Amino acid sequence: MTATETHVDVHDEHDHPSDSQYVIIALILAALTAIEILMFVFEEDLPRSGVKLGLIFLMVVKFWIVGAYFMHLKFDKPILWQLFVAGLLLAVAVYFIMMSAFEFSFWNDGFEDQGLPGGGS
Amino acid sequence: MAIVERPLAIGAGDDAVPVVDRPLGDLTRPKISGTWKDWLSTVDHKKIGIMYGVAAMFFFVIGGAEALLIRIQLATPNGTLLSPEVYNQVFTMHGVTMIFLVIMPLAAAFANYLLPLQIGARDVAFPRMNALSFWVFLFGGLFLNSAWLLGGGADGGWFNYAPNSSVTFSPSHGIDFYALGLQITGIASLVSAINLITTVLNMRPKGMSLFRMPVFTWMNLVVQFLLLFAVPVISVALFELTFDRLFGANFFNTEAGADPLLWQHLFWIFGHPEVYILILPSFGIISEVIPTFSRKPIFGYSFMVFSGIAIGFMGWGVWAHHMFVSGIGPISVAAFSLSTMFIAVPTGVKILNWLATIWGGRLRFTTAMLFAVGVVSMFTIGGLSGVTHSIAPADTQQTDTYYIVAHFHYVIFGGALLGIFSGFYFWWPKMFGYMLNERIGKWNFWLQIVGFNVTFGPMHILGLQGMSRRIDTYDASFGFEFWNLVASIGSFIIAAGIAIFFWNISYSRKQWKKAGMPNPGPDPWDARSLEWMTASPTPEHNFDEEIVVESLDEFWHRKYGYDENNNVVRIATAEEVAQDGSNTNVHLPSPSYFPIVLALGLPIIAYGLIYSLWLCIPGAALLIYGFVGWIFEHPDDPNAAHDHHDEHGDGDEPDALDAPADDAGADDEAELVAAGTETEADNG
Amino acid sequence: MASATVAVEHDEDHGHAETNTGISNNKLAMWLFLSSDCLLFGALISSFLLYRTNIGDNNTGYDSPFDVFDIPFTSLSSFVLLMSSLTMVLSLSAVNRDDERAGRIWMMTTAFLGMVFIGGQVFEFTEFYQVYGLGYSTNTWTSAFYTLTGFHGVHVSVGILMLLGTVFGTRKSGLGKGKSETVELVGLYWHFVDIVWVIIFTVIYLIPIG
Repeated sequence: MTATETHVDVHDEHDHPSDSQYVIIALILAALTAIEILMFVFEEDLPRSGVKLGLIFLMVVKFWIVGAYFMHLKFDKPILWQLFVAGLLLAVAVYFIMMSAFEFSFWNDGFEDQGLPGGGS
Repeated sequence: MAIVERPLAIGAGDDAVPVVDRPLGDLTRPKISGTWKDWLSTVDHKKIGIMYGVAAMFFFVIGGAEALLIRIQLATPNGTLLSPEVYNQVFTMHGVTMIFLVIMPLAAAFANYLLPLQIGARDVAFPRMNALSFWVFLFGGLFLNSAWLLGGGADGGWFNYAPNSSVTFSPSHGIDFYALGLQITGIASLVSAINLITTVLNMRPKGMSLFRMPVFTWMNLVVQFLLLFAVPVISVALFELTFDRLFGANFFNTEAGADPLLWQHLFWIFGHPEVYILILPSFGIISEVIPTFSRKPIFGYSFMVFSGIAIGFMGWGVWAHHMFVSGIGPISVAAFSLSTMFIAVPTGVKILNWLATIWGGRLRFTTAMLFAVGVVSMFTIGGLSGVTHSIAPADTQQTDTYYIVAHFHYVIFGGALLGIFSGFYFWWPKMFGYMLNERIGKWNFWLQIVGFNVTFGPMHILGLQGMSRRIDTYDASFGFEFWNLVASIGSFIIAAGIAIFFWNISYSRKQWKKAGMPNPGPDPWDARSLEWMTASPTPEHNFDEEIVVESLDEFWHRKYGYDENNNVVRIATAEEVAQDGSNTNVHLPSPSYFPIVLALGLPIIAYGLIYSLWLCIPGAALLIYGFVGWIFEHPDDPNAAHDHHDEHGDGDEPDALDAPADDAGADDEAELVAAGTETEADNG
Repeated sequence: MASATVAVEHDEDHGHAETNTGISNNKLAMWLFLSSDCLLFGALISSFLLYRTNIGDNNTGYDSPFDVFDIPFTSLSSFVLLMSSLTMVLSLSAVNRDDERAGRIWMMTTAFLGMVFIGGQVFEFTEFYQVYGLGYSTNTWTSAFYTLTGFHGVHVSVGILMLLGTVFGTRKSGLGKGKSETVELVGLYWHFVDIVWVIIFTVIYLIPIG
């Protein structure tokens, strides 16, 4: 084995998106962001819960697109997204439980409740 | 294949031009000098492990002295040795020291020393980061304890509930030292977790699949994952506390409408995984010790591994059982009661498996084995008293009483610390090349276990009688005086046991020197895993050749086989199987001063935050200096008997991002393959 | 924690091909760090959510954070950060095909967009403080808001330093295909910081209260 042959190429040559595909992905992200902002602007005309759910949904989609394509999780070894999703889901789970214990939710955070945040019970 | 393995091509370095490797001018590449200076710049995982152990034992003496002060104060009613203020500081610092500066680093000592050896690797994945972890931990610990000299230690208890931790209720700087000191040691834990996980996942030799790894390695892998995910949580809590106290933030300021439960949640989201961070390494240690001295393989290996993973996983869902009396609401209480009962199941599986391993074994009650059996029995008591806390009504009665103190000492002292002592006696010959005296060791064990039970057993009774924890004294009329006196006597028996351990170290060493240094050989205990397959003490390069693994307990299977009647027979002696450590042609990661320089910046910044922000400037300067120097320094010294200078020999400035792998990796690979073939040939 | 990040970037291992997972030590370590960072930002976001409606405490005169948020401005800076992810990935793509010049240009663009974002944050903080009178210790809301967005800002700044370090640190050795892993690791960190902002932008700035 010669030095040049073993010169390590770190990339497993998966089919990474091409530059133009990256631009398209970015345009999709931009469009999603535009929808988010439109939802915010017209929130008075839309059902309140729909706005909240829609924004959370768009957030998850954007998160997934950046993770899957820009961070290559879709094309990389599965262990990487397994590790990352482990941390992510753990964070979502424990903090969701914690905020539930505070009786927090995006749906009962109105101003009528001026006591301790979330009540704390 | 273990990728750190970089044997030299003999005779290749002749034409190389030595280069001056001056990363940042004055701090030249340290040379191996054989003096104490080597320890400052070492990146050898074994030396770092030993330093972790020494530092932790130093803090152990401090924490132990604090414990004795507590027990003297409480030995008689209306004790006057300590004022209430000082008493608060002493019990707080006792807890913080024992948890963060003794048990965790002792576990880190074993993990650092043994993980690479048990998986058959040359070193950890990032040797300099390993050194960084140690120095950051050490300076963080010293910083935390320096509070004693600068106006008194933290006084809010180890879990330091808000708003009691605010400036209003604790105006001294003790809690600032607590917050910043634990922040610093947290960085050490996080760096080390990333390093060790990468090592275990990436650097196993051929054939060492995950399910051929020893249980000790598995348990430590789980612990490192727990650290990876738990440390950031406490980091945020500590940042918020620091900002509250130093910069007037309002995270826990109830006057501004803050909810103090935020601290409790964040602390215990970290704090309960932390409990398993403390205990799982010991579970790993005794899972090595018990099979060795029962002369049987571990019973239910996969159950052991999966129950460890299950504990690590479920450990995230039980934190609020520390908060049953905080008013978290009936639904939370019910849910966390249930999850707490469930987590007893995998722990129970482990205890049953250890018993089944001992069952029918040909037992040898060495000191290490005695300590391991001590763990199984004492931890069971602690575990059972722990399950009683899952019953919320009972817990309401017991919260903040000595019953809790008894419980967690049974798991942390009776579980974690006894396990670590078992590890000391077991691996001492591997680490230092001489055996600890067994007769003294047995004195050590019996004094420790008797003292332990005399001290903490009565605390169950005291707690149920209603003696609350953290009170600095009690009145004679309360009926607490008898058991308190017993507990105090017990604490001095423990102290005697620990003193005997220290004496054993020096006595055994002297005896060993006097007797003309008989080497205990690679495998004094007839053990099972790879770390016994190399010389004692472990040579600097760990293994002469890469080991190709074919089964769990590889070393044992090389020593024993089956005859025609399917009986186990010895087929080789340990000396025949083990490597003698004579290979001198192994290139090792080069030492570096930058980890210690970088680490030194952190406590200086922390002092700056407390006393004067100006002090942060030199601290940050040191940090940046260490950092930039680190980047510009080649991980490998181009002058260290090494055959690829061509790329660097032209006097070029070392390049920041010129990773050595780019050019240096190439011909190593070829050699590595050659060495690999050789290894296979030898073993075949 | 930044120390861990950048240390990870400059590797100490000695080759890439032969790891058990097939992933280089550096890349694995970077992903481990990022997954750990999820818990860090989770705690900060949770702390903020707990105090989300408390902007009126201490009689600041505001009923809702939307009285002070400048959503068009923040949308613009969010968009800038989102697009910096595109330039980052284009930089990696250029380095992968050994186009050093394009790699450097895209990386500098990324750093520039990051600086624009940080500039926007500085402007926002200044405005909150000077125009709206919201200091760090005014109430629980301000403490939580400045801490969360400040931590994110520190992460972005570290990312900018990593980008500039990569561009200027490789002037001699070149930024060719051999450096693609370095660029990739910087990129991973950068994208992570971006997706954290995706969450922060939605949760703090967009989701209506009540």
